[in-house]
Amino acid sequence: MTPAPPAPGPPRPSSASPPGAAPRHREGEQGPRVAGEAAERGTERAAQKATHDEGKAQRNGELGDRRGQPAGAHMGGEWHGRIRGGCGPRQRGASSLHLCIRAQEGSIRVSLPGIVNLSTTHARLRQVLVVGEIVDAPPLPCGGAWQWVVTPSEGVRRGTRRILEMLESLLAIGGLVLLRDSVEWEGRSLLKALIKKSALCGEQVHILGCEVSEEEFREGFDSNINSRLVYHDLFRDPLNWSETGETLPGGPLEALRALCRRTHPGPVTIALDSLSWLLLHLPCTTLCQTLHTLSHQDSCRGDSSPGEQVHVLGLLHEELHGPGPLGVLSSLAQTEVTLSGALGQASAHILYRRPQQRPTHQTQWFSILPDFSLELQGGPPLEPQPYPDPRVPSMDPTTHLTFNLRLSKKEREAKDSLTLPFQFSSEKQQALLCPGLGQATSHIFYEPDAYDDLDQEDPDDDLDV
Amino acid sequence: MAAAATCGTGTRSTGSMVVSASRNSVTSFQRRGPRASGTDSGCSRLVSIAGTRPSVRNGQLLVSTGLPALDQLLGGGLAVGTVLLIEEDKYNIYSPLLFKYFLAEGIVTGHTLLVASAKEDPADILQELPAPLLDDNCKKECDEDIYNHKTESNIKMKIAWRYQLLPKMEARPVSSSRFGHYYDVSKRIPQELIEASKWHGFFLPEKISSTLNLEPCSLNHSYIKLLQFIQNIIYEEGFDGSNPQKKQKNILRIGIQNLGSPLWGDDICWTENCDSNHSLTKFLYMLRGLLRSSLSACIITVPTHLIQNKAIIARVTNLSDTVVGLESFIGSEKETNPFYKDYHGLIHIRQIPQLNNLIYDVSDVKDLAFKLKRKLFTIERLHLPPDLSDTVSRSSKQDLAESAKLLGPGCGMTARGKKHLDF
Repeated sequence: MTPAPPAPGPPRPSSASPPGAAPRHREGEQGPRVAGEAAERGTERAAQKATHDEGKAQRNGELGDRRGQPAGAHMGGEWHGRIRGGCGPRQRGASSLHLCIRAQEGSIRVSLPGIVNLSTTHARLRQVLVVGEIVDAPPLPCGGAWQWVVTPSEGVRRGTRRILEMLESLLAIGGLVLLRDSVEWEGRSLLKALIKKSALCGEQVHILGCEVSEEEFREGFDSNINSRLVYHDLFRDPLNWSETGETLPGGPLEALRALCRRTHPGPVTIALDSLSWLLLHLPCTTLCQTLHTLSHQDSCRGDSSPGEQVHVLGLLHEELHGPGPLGVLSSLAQTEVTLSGALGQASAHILYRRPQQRPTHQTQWFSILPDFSLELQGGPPLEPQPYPDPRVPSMDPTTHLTFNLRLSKKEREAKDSLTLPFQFSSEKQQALLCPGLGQATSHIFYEPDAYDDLDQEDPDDDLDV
Repeated sequence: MAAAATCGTGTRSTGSMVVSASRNSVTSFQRRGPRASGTDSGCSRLVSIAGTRPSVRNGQLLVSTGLPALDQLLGGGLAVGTVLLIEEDKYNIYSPLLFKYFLAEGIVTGHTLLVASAKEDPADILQELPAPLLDDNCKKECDEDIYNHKTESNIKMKIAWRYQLLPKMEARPVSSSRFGHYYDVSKRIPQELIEASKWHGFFLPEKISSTLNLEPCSLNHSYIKLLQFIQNIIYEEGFDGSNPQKKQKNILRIGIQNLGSPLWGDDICWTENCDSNHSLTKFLYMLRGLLRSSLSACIITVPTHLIQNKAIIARVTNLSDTVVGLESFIGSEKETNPFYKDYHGLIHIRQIPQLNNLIYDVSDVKDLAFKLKRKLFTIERLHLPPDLSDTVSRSSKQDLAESAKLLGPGCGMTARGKKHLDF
């Protein structure tokens, strides 16, 4: 591999050598082993890649801390560079992105002035780089040298996109979202996380609180979210005994019906603090019909754009009900989340039932932070495999038989080399298979064998009659 | 040692003689039905209504269910005046498809429709019906399907090379006449067909005003309303022969979706012993009475997997005429079973009615599987039945069914079921 000479083209780094540079740094080395280029031998390199050895390390796609120096050790300074992409043969003229990289202690910030949509320019760049911070930067698969060295800091949240995707995907389909929890894994915090997400998205949020008091429900939310929540309290006085007129007349059913009749346009989220409580106090069929009306309100309105969806979040305690109500509510729900967990880690098994499509499911391990934002985890440290492995090896029908269906290698060879009695050459096969135009009738092709003895005069000469 | 090259061409010609010219496949022999199909039903002793034909076995007037394969399995079609009950699959993906096929067939043949649902608006249901395929399109679909099979198996056959070019054995039940139509599931029915057709819709939330105090009644209020609605339509439009001076006779196709679910106000999916245990059964009994006295056919989908009391399922099955159960593989352990890898679920024909007949009319194939391709919903035999040539006189059809059920992935064809063999 030829040492890459300093390229004449790309602009020279404009900054001085980083402060505190160790004497072993040669001139031109630009600090941390940030590879900004998918290097191919002989291609122009970006200014970041300073040394030959560094280039080699980058080409292997490994972190540049082989020399034992932590990445980002002598950060500082700023340099500009151009990034070329492509792991294949040299791609001159490939799209190049002008980067401005600023290295500071603790993090690397990359900003791309003037470029808005990176994904179209560069297939390799897998994450949109937010100006100021790298959101996520996984190593790229090919032998190229894209490798961002990220030192974790508070600003850098790994997997941010995946967190948003989980909550968003729960709310994406609309309709009824059923959260099934149990005593060990409670679901109210997930409910509150979803409420917070909806409130932050600007939707109206109505809460029907039946199981906990309003103060207890509202704690943990900050004030701007609290101001957006419309709370219908059914906990303090559900049967209206105090007759102060504060509670809703008619009880929970009337409250639900009032929500159905709501005429305010716009997307809305209705959280039912506990469907279990409602199930125990209302006739079940009425509740199902009301839930159905609630979750399909948009269809009654005429055209429903995706932004105008109604989300109904229902919390259901699994142990309180038999298989009947659970089955019915599952069939009514468009998204069903079952909470469980292992070794202190909560997990959600999510089943998406989009209309007219096959249901899909996924499992996410997560934890909820005190401010009701969600954080995804990779899973418990020891996987005790509580769930059946989805990649169950498919059953081999030839196992457990009393006879042998398999061939050994020698047997297979012997079988292949066997000549068959009617093995014709391929031309003759074709001639037999595709009869020509004139051959409307069938033909009999007779080839006398060694044992055939045709005597034209007496066909039955083997008889003793 | 004559190499019989006649076999290939021979079967092909006889095959095409029996099956109509639209299918050029090697099939088992089919009895030719009368050429009555569509509008030219030649039998003069029966009413000639569009889209019906008399059954070859007992002369009963039949309508198509929309799926010719299902027609074949039900003995030619669905008899007029009977109920077809579909037991829904777990996630309710495939039973709406059968429902829509039935309704689309009604639109294409010009029958009147009555759609009742508690979940969706009937107008929306009608918008989602599949588009009918015209004759040459249909042939192209089927041929392309066969062609796909051919190109897939281009591996050279070493021993049976004479059969290389023959098309694969037809695994689907084949109907011998163009009684039913084919539909393209990926397309929607054209709007003008819906507008040209006559249909009545019953959407439960609109018909029932939400009153809290409903006096308990032996029959569910929603069911009462639905029965009254059906009765009115039958009477007003003359399907029961009440207005003989009216125009030409037509068939009323009734479709009721998700009957028995709590959205209809029924408790049977909720608990085992509920007050309204008999609502659904009474409804079915009265509905069948209405149907028997009018020119109508009905399809009902019931979520039997949610019904808690097994006795109710048995009663519902007994009160319906034809019962077809769908079992999809999604979410069950059968999904990863290589035995079932080509299919999406199993279809069980649980009951076939005994109308004007002393014997049941069941097909000999009991294990059927369905597959929803992009454009077509196909029903196929799961595997060929075992060769029982020496015991065919001794085995009855029930034993075949049980042995088919016992066939697992590892036993091959050797299960003999619950029959006691004595030597």
